[in-house]
Amino acid sequence: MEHLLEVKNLKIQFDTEEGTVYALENVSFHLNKGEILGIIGETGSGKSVTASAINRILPVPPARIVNGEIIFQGKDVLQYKREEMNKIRGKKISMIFQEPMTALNPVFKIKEQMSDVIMHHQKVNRKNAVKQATQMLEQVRIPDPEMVLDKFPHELSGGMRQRVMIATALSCEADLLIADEPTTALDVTTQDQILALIQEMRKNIDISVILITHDFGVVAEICDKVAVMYGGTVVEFTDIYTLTKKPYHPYSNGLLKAIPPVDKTIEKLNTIPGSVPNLLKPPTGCRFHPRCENALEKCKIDPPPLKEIEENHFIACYNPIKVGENNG
Amino acid sequence: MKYNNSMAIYWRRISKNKMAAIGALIVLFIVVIAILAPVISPYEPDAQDLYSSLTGPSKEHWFGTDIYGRDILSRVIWGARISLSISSLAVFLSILIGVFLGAIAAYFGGILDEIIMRFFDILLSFPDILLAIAIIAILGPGRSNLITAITIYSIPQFARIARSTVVSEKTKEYVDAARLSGESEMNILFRYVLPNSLSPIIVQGTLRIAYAILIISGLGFLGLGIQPPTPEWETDLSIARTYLRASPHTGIFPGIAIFITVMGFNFFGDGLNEILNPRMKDR
Amino acid sequence: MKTQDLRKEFQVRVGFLQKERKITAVDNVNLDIQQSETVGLVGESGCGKTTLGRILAGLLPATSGKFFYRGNEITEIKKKKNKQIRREIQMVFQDPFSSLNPRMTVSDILSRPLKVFKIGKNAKERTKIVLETLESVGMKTEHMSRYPHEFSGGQRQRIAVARSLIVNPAFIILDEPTSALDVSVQSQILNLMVDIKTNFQLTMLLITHDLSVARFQCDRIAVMYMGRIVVISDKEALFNSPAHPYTKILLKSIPRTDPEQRRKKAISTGEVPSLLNPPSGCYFAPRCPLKMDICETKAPELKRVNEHQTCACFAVEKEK
Repeated sequence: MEHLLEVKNLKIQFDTEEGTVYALENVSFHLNKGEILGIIGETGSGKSVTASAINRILPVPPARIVNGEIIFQGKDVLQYKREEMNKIRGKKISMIFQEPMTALNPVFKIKEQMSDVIMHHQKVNRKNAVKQATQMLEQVRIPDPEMVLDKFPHELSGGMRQRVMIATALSCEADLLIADEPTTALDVTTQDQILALIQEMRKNIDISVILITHDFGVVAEICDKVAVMYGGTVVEFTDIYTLTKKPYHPYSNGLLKAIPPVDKTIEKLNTIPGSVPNLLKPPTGCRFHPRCENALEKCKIDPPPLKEIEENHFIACYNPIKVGENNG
Repeated sequence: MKYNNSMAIYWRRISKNKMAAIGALIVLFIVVIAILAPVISPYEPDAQDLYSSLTGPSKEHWFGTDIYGRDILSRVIWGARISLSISSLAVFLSILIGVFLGAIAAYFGGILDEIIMRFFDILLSFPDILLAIAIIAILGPGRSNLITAITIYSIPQFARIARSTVVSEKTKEYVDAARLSGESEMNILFRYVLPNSLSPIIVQGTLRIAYAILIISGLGFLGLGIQPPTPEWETDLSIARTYLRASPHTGIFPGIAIFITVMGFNFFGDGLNEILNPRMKDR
Repeated sequence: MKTQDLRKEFQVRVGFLQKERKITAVDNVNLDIQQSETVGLVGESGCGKTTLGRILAGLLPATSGKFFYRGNEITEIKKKKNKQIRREIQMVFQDPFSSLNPRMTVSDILSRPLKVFKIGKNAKERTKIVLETLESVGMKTEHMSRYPHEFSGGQRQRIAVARSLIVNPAFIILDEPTSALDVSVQSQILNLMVDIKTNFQLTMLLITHDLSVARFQCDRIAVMYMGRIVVISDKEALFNSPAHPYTKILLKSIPRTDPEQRRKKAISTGEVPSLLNPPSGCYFAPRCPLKMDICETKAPELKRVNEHQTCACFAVEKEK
């Protein structure tokens, strides 16, 4: 079965006045139709750069795609010319962001903005576009769509705006939705509703989703697969159940253990010493080695490649955690 | 309080920014000339030599002589001193006063803010040159009155800039942190907030010096500027008006001097703006 | 520290015509904080926890109501005679980027408070104190001469913590101290705070939206909703047997890190109403599964449920 999306050895750098930023070193993962993939990482992990790269919205320059392929529905997106990409962007690949206020134009009503998008991708007139927009807003469980359509973005709450964004993103029947930290700016109760909504959408219209977040709880809540990123590399890639039970990569392991649990009281948190790497001068070899308990000499020289060590469980590590050492 | 590794970034920016570099060089050049005037000037600027009046550029007089036989090159060199000292002093004073008033207006807000800013709004509603003319008309021409006039019309602009940067800085959390450390409000304003608001003021300052030189030129033309026989570009230009057709060199050289200086300061100011903003990038 | 009917109102301008409207950010809050305990102040957006924290830190005046420190009523911390109090109550802010003056070195940032409060007889002594404090937050000597922008978010927060510690305070208010940090760094800072609490014998008020952080750090927890305190509870009681319906929903909504515990559908409905248009009666009523008629007309008061919890809810009262 062909993957819907396959990212292979993506390597991207940025030329800035402070020097070259080695943003993505080696990113590889895949997504099958109908799956929800979570990309989890901290600052500097490269998760947002990856998302923007898939949709080709990275500013080139200063970005430079050094290497790699992004194969979407069988074709390498990086090879597309501008017009071809424009046909896909928004239509086949849709994207929503953390802060909807920056994506929505404050001086136009929702009605106009949504119907503009619909009319851009489909050959319909304004009236039909508004009708579609109303239907989409119902699908995202907005109780009074007409009222919402008649409002300006700043008149809506954060959760509402995000629903509008989801509705807009889905209105063109995209095959892939990229959601970049969609719930980070929302209250936890609203977040819960939006995550449930995304799951429902996946079930109803069979859309595939890439969900980018720094919050592991979000990944555990709705994702099927997860790619853990650190310092511009995918360090572990497998399904969510396997990852929580058997995080082989020392970083994934450390990350999971560092999250304060809400269901029990503990005395001390496990930590990963040090901090995320400076992408202007990243560490040699494996970028995690300065903070890694399992670091070997080899790790300082050669970055480990992503290898499948068990079925559908990929890690980039020369000295992974042995099964017995994990928390079960 | 210097930035260390950021100097490297500044250097990179300066060298990449041709405008700033050229401007900086010109400004440096003019300043050096002004300082070294007594040393490098070939003649006394007041030395008259009526036999050589209105001679064109020659080996003895590179820029020629004016109606009184005075060496134009020397007058241009000394003129740099005068122009620069007047405009710099005036701008410096207006920064001191304007920034102080704008900062306390912004920081303490309320009625103080209203009174100060409305007063400045009134001043700002007059075109600068009219205001300067009015002040000179009241006080009489002369160097110190010229400085006064330029200072007065320049104050409101600096007050405005100071006010807007202080207003945005004062809500930042390090200001609250300073309060927690027991600092007095005045201390917070001058030790913490103002130093962070300096870059737009510096930029505006350089641009204002250029502008002041132009205003002096305008006033000089009207006879309200520096009085002769003091060597001063604008006054010389004004005098040269009469002789321009026959002896254009009397006007060209002071004119070019004004042009290059004003351009230099403008380039420098614009370039400074690009260098200082965006400010230090945070991670 | 003890508050009595503390209230804070703001005037905001809304809409195209910039009409002035009033919002009540903190609504008759009564909270007490005992010596040596860590109290958590928890809530979602707009609940007023940051505003309350700033009032208690003396950075914001209350509109009405009182608060007491060590038994004495605080009216104006800024006044000269209150310098002792100013020293004893410190705060750590959420944003590590804007809470440090970009133009001062670490050494300046830390030694200024010493100078102002006249701690340390001379520069040498002050430097010694600065170094000791830096060490206690896990920073090194060579960091002294550097500027804030040269550090990572986690390191800056350590500097901010050092700044609050260096004057030897009794009470520290922490406003979302780890919200802007990565998870791996957050755990370092959280551990650090537990350590300094013990080593420096501090009383703490921890403001956070993250209940798991509250569970880790706090002894007692107060939950706020739209400016009102709806629950004050001992920690274990809050998590093991939450009484208030909002707390129940809040706890269930938190995504767990174990995918086996996934929920089938959303727990809550609706969103937090705008402070410009608060509902009548109990603010949570429109979203509450236990809503009764009285909830829409009267606002419930905090009443004791058992020895561990007080709660503002008519349904809970009725059950008792």
